[in-house]
Amino acid sequence: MLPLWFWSRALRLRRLIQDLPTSKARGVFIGLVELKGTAEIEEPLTSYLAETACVQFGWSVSEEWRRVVTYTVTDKDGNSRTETRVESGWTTVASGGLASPFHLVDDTGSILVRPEGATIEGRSVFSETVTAFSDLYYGKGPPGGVVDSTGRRMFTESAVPLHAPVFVVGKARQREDVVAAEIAADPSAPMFLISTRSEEQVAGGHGWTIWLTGLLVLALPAGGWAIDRNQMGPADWPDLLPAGWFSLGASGVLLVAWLWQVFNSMTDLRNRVRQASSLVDIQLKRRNDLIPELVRVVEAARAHEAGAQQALAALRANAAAEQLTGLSGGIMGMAEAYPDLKANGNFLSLQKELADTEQRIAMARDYLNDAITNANTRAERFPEGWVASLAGLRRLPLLVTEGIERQPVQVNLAR
Amino acid sequence: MSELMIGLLVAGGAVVVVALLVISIYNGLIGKRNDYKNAFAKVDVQLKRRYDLIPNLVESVKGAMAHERQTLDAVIQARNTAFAVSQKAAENPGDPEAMRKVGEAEAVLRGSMGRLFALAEAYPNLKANENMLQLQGELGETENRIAFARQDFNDKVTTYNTSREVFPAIAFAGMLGFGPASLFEIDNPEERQAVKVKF
Repeated sequence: MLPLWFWSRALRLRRLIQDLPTSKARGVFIGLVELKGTAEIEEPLTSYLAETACVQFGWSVSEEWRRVVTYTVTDKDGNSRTETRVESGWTTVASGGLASPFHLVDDTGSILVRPEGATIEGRSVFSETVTAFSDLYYGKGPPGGVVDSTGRRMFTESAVPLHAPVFVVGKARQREDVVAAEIAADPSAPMFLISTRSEEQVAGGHGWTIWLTGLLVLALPAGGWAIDRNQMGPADWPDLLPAGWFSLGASGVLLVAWLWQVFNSMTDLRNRVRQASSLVDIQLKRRNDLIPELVRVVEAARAHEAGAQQALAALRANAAAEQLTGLSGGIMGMAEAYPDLKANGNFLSLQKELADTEQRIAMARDYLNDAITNANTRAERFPEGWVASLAGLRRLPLLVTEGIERQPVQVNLAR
Repeated sequence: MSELMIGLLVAGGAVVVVALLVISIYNGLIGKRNDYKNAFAKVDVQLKRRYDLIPNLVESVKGAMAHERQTLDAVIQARNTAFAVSQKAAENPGDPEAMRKVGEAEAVLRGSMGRLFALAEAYPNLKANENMLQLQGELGETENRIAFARQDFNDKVTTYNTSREVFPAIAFAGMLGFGPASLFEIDNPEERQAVKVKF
């Protein structure tokens, strides 16, 4: 049962990682997202053993022990004798670690990641086995020791170093301090992973688990039966035949479990495509609601500025000519305090917002296309394509522009 | 134990297992349905925030604009008056009435200049424009909040839909009265079109 559970879990997680399109840091939406970037932090942590700058580290010290165990056995004839056996092993004597919220930075921007509750796959930054003569032994290890110690300690540490490429899968939610997203632990998320390995390596790792546990599921029942059978006495070849039946039964179980997982992941993917399509709508709606309002504000700013500048021009022109009172100088100073054309700032801000808005839409469309591509790949593959049609996952066309939108844009400022 | 007893026990056990499964699916779906309804309400909260906030912001920006404009106009008005009466006084230096008017006009000009200086001190560079920049920023932020709330709603709807459509829930969800939920969608297709910026 246990290998079967590991098998179906690895299958589910690998399919999830493969099906999730990679988002960009600036285009992150609320929900389960996958991101690739580098780990950055303003005040990096210093890891305990390797003393490297990092955003997360975990270390442990284990000590070796070896003991001779004496025990008594009684054989079939009732004779007791004493036997000895050497046991040895490692016991963890100290461990610790620290993780700090960090920024994942990619080519579009950055996003805050809160690592509490995440599965963190760090990189090994320290691994040394030393004897008590080493400074390290008591320097960074605890005083005292384990019973029957051999006087050897193993110091290991893994960390997510500063600037290291990281692969993150987790749930994005809205930050409480500013209007932006952050990635944090969420009980409803199927996974929350921060890994220094690449997406392919993580998926590949699950792939190995699938193969190994799958083989175990096939082999264990047959093996168990064979051992059972063997205890009754030496077996001939035809007697082992039922082992084959057991394996056949186990592969039937695997097939059903595979169908189940694949059907569910296809359903998940189909809904992800629908969600992605709706995410595009959200960004289009945002543009539709926001841009006209911004344009109106900038228009008002421009009109206001035109009026104010005219008034100031009148003041400037006349103030010099008037010898009326000492106030003229004050008027002049006032007029000069007015910097020129401040509505420019409003236009700049509008231009930035326009570009940002289109960028958001583009990223939402990219995400949708990635999701559709993943779904199409699944739907076309053999044999999962059959399950895809069972789960209502159909081939969908990608979003493409047509006609004039593909032509280069002529910038015309003369009009 | 008779074969009948064993059969009954097995059947009873199966019924209990299925019942437990259905109960857990039911409770799970209840939770997720409430989650997406809650997320929908949160979108409404953000829409309401926009509705309440933006008109007030616009009014205050308008106020700042009008204040700045009126102060400038008052200075110009006062200057013109002062200039006119001093011209008159220059034509007839002996007229005490004209001299008195010059004094009055100077006082008005001084007053309006005072207001201009006060304004300039309160807003070092007369900042109706900064108000508007802030309004632009707030408009953008408000729409971001709404977009986030909608994304959250979509996420919750998708979670709900997926959990009612996966096996084994798919076998019971319809029976238990859990219909599919719909995602955010633009009602008016024109809103999908690119926005033309025109001045």
